[in-house]
Amino acid sequence: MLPKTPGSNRSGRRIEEGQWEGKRVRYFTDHVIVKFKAPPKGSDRTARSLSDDIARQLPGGRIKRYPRATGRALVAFDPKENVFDVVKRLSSDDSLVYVELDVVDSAQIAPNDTRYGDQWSHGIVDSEDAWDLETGTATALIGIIDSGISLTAGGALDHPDLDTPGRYILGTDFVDGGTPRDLNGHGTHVAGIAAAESNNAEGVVGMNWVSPVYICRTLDTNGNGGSADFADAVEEISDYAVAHNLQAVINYSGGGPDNQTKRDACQYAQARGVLLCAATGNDNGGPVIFPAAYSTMFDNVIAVGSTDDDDTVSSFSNVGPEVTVVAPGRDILSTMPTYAVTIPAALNYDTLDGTSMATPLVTGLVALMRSRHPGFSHVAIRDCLINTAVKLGPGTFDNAWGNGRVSAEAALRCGDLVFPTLFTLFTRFTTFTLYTRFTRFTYFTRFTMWTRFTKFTRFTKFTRFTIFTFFTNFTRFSPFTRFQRFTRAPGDRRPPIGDGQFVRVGKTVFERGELAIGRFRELRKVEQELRNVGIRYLHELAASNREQLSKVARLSGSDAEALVKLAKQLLASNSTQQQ
Amino acid sequence: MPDDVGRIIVKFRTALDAPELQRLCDEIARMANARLVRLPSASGRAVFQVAAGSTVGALLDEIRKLPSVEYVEPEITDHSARQ
Repeated sequence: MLPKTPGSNRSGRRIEEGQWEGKRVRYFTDHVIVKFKAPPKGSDRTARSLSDDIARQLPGGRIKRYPRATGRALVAFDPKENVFDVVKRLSSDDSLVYVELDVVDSAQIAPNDTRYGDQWSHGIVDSEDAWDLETGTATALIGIIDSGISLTAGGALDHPDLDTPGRYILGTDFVDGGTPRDLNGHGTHVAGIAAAESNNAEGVVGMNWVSPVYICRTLDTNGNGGSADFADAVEEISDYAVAHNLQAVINYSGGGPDNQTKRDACQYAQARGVLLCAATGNDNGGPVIFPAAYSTMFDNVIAVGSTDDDDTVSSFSNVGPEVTVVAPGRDILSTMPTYAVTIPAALNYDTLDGTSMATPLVTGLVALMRSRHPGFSHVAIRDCLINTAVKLGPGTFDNAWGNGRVSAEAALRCGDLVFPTLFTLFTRFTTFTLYTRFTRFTYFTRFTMWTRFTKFTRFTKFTRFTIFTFFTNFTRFSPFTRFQRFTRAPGDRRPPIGDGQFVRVGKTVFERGELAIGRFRELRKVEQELRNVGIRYLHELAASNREQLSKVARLSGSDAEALVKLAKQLLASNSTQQQ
Repeated sequence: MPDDVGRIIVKFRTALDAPELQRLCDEIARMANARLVRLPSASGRAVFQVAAGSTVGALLDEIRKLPSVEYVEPEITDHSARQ
């Protein structure tokens, strides 16, 4: 049995330090990782029921995260239990492949905010790994159009987690004039989720720690607001971003019916490269509200639905083809005004539910992405968010969860992200590695600066590349290079494929240009028609809603269905070719 | 008409100078028995509060006929998306 030594508890979670399998590690003391065997064929047992059985064996046991495709789950138990005893007890269970400690081995930045342990959403979306990469910069701007922010009656910032001098910019109060003092509570909560002061040993953590926040008030004491005010606020924030050369994302955790004024506002932001994250609404599966529903009309609008702590879509979250992504939105702890407001909540901090709460988490993440990739267009940022989202069911798109639940670390790595496939054992990347495909049996690869595109074939065992590798124009081998075969013949000087943006389909990464409709002989006849309705790439066609495609492209239902099916087939065959 | 709050949004065609905008606002206010509650923004959008008892639908048709008006529509209300 391993000795248990007391250690730090930095984030409010139960973390200790000790020896595990001969190494000194930090580990969680309130849960363990278990991996289930696949249920026998014909068995009516599901991974979920097996998990519940395991939880029942432990005092205070509960499943913190149900098994996904890999069969791995997190089982929590009464914190008074000794984690090593739990490991020993479960290790004899026949339904498990293994049980082990959940070792804290990756996050360098775990915020020390006192209520961080109550913010379950950050564990689900891998925020700590994301914060290792980026906590925000002053070159990105978060705009918040809502009910205002906690202020004194005199208009001064007064919340301990929302008062960094110079960071929170007070814009126009379109409801009452003056400074945007929050009389409802909603706006302060939203601001805290996106951008509360973080790692300040107080209160909660915001998704973005650094970027400036521009506050406009359009929602009144009861949380209602006019579309003209919304449009004016969008213009004010967009103009500020342009004037200060900032990469902006606006949060709007509200919505209602469609009108021209809101469409104009979205277009105004789009023309200035400003993204708008908007809530899909909480009508228990009703249609997506506007402006979120403009996500299929404007490429700068991101419609955000809500998920629960078991990574399923919240029952209240609206659905439709307009849902872009989903994010945690139930039981979300954040900042509240320091004074009594309309929402009956505790002063300073409390939990709220709604797509309102999911949206600012995405907004904060988008601001992190804009901080890390200031050269990316708003389209590239949105594509990255979509393509790195975790699918919550079969297929690539679902009206309930859109393109998936956001994954913070993956979204930030998009653009410099590499997806190794089976048998890649060790890979080290540097700053400028943009795109690499691995095949089976790649054992060790080291890249240096400017590696942009490299394709390996089978049996590559050890390769060291130096200065420039692009279609293998120049390659230096180390003494350990045993066998290498390149797929492109020397002298093959085909130009680079696309525009440098990437799309993930299943486990395969494509450069977006590779998926241009015009590249596929079978689709050339309809390329212009599809372009007219905003579909330029194969994955967009494959994810299209057939009824909608039929309507907007004026195709018969069977033609639309055949097109979508063909796109899926082409995607599948191209994915296979690239493995 | 969704969420009729007795206000109308009038979007003027761009490239109107300030006196011309003022004249148009006065004209619409008189025509609609309405009060200007938001001066035209940089984008040329103004908001009018219609007098109680007026029928917004009929006013919209009248205002829409003005050549300097790009569009006119009733104001609608958004709600915070808190559950």
